[in-house]
Amino acid sequence: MTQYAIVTDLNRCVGCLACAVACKVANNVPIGSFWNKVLRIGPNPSTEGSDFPNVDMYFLPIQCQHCENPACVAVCPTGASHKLEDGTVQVDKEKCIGCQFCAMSCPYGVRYLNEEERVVEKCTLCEQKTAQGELPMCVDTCVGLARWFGDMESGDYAQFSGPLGKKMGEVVDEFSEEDVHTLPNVGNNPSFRYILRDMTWQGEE
Amino acid sequence: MELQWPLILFTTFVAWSAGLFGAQGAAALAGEGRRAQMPALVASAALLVVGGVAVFFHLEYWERIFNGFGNPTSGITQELACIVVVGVLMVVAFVMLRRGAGDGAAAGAANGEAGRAAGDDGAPALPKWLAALMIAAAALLVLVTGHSYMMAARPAWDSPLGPLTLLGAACAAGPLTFAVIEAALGEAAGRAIALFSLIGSIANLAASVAYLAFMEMASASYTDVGFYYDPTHPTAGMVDVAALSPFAGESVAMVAVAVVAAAVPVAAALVGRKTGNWKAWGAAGALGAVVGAVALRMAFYSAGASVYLFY
Repeated sequence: MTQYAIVTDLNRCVGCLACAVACKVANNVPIGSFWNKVLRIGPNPSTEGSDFPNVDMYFLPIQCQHCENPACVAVCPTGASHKLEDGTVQVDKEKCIGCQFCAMSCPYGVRYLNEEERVVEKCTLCEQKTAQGELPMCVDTCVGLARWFGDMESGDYAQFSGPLGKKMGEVVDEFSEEDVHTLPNVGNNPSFRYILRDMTWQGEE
Repeated sequence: MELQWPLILFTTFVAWSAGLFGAQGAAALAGEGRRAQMPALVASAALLVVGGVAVFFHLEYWERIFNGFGNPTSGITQELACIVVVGVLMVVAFVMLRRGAGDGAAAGAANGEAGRAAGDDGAPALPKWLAALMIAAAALLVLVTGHSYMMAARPAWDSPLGPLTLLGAACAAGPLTFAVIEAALGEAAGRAIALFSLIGSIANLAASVAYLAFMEMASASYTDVGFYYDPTHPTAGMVDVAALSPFAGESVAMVAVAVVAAAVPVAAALVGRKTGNWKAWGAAGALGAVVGAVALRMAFYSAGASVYLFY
């Protein structure tokens, strides 16, 4: 089984939003919708009660987490939302009835109703590109070499691919297991991973 | 999230329809309200149709439902299956009532005044097995409909109290509506329906209050990331979790209406039992139950944010 996903080194992310813009261009994402969004988390006290300059701040790119156990797929009545063999969660627009239960069931709120096409959309992990051996646009465009694409099942982050033909192991600094985080897991088992060193990860996992 | 009116109306009308259908079954089991059976069946079917029409306004491509509802884990698929079961039972009940009407008319004519005095007036009775199936199918439809909204992604929704409040609304509105139909036909509401109205209304009120308390407690389940900023919405403030409470902001009015309206059927059932004036008190109680269910669903959507609510 393959599980394509993105690992993001948050210590490298500079919050330039290039990934969000590139995603919009590559996927023709409607105005007002985002398949990929970058939040600034912080500044929050590094330790309880601490004040500037002892604060943590990082940028957090968020999109569909292509969960191992996606609730959106479970609730879809027509099978429009489905999981491919590569582990990604996709929407078959021809089958979507626009009931939006998938959007309600997503813990991260990353699904949108496309008002023009009247179907639900979200990050496809650039299936149109990865199926041809290319990188998702958000990874390909990452200015800080923070985002890396690969198969989570391999367990070898060092071999994840990034821009300029580089591998994650060539670029990213060392990290421990404690530095690897996920968005809150409410049983959906998000596939994406976030690496954050020397700062406190904000929010449950 | 925004109020989803088609879904609010769908769930409320399904509960009302199923409640009335279940009340019919209860009356049939108790051997009461024979003359009200056919009008109640028509009313129950009509309510289900109204709910069905309402939900179509929620769908962007309703015609694609004919492509097949192949996913059994989907709440919508399960609801559709339950609606089909209830629909089949409605047809069976209709056929039996029509057939029985023919036989009963002859019997009624033979019994004459004695038959009318006994309350059957030649009206047909549904078999007990069918009555039991009607109650079970009605309850299942309501619980399955409520269960569709139990999502781990939305802490305020993820409780069995959701389906139970819908069942409560059904158990309040259903028997009270049946009592109104009985009264309109000049029949006094039977003891079973009167008792069902009271117990159902009390259960509805208790479940509604408990569910609102659960929604309030759910605010502790939202992810907290401290300070944050969304560059794509530069003028938007941070999400105020306290505002998601059903007891804050605009939700307060919804909650007040939900609780008061849920209390109305309890009072109506009590006064109805005492005075026997089910036409007025039954109608007031049923209306209260329906309004309460709508208001509770409004609060439900107002409090229904994602566990990670920053995207």
